[in-house]
Amino acid sequence: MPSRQRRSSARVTLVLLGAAALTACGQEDETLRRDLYSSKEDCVRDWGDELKCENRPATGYAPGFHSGYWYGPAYRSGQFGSSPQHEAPGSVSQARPGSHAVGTGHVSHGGFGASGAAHGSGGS
Amino acid sequence: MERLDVTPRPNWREDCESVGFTYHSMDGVYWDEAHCYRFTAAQIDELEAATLALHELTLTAIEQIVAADRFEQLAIPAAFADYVRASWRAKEPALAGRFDLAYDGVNPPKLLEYNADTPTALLEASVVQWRWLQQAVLPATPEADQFNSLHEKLIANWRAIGVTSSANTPVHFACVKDSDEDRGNIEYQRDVATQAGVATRFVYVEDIGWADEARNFVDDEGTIIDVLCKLYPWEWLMHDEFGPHLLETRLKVIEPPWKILLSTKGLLPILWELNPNHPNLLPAAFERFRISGDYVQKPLYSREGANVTVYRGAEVLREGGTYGAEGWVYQAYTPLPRFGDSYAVIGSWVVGDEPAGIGIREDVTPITRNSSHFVPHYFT
Repeated sequence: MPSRQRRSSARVTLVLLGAAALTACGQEDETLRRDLYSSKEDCVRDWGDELKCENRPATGYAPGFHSGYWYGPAYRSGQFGSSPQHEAPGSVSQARPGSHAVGTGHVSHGGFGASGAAHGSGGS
Repeated sequence: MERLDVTPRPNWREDCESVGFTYHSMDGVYWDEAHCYRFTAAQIDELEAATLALHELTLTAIEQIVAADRFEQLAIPAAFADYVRASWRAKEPALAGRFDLAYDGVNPPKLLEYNADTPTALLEASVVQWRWLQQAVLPATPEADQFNSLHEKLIANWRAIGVTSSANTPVHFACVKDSDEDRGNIEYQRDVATQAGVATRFVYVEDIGWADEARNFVDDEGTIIDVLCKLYPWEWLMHDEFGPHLLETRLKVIEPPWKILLSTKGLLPILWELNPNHPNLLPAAFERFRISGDYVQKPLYSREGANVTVYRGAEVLREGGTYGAEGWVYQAYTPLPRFGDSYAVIGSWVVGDEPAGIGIREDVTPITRNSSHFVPHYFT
């Protein structure tokens, strides 16, 4: 009689998990910024490397960028000549002095997690 | 199906922690290898067949829900109905789900609920009990086996679903802060995705940002999130402040939006309505009067047994919680098998479209809660 095919995994190896993998990261509270460009060339002129410039297609929800736009790398307030004070989350301000960007975007935080805080962990 | 008293491995704590299972003793005891369950091969066959049958029933139920536009009945916000429908129509890929079953080894398994959106107890089912089998059972009982091919099926599923548009597009894995259990489960998903060749990053749900001018989500480093694998329920995403932004982005989310149609307990009455007297279902309804005899009241949306009330004869067993605002369903009561002082529930996993294994949770009450113990199993 042939032996049954086993129902348990033949091998179980992990590549990331382990006690050390679950340490929390430090918290940063500076405002994140990314410069917005109307062309790749303008972005590369500021950052010197096209790999730092990310193309995003037009979504229909970004006024003024009907053919898409280019993102520079993320940086924190106070770096690269930007104003050190925090900007209003979600706002778009003028580009840094000397920059070829058409504007500088800021990121809102805290819009996810409220339900989790009210109810507890998300697992079931 | 028997519950056995067994001797824990001397190094069980160290072994659990070596695979990231650091929450083995939350609330005192969680991982319990002083006991185990032994099944026959025929019982495992029955569990596997029931799991496959239930999976197929749920897919049929989604079709009915979408076609009959039952989103309001399931308390899904009107603004998200088309979003969920489009996700289903596009066959957006899913990872896994866990059916919670009442099973005594003799009578057909009965579906209690389906954790289709944010199932946990995955790391312990897939990795920890597998290592227990290798170390504690097989040396003395080499013919023993375990219903658990979760690990290899998860890796294969991540390979198959091709979630990213290019190899360089990372999948962001997210869970809430301050939950070691959620972090362990999502990191395990991240681990198997990595083994499948997926580039991964981690971000806490609370740290997800919204770039107002570009209209997309970003992580805490400002990197755009294209694919989000979240351990955070869909009903919470929809109701949080950023929820409406989901409707205007191309963000892909895993589990996909259509999973909310399965994770709501509103699925239970719909399954019964479509498949009355199915051997793996219990009578269930949106109205209390439709259920005769002892019954269980469950919130449309809740987690870990919260706000579940059992009405059994003159006895009322009530679990507290913060849920119930969206409404309730009523399900016929079925006794859970009891072994000594413990009630057991089988968590039976589906990965992709295949049954993939089981994990067993025990509690001292008939309501399985977050603090219920996880007990390993084998079969011969």
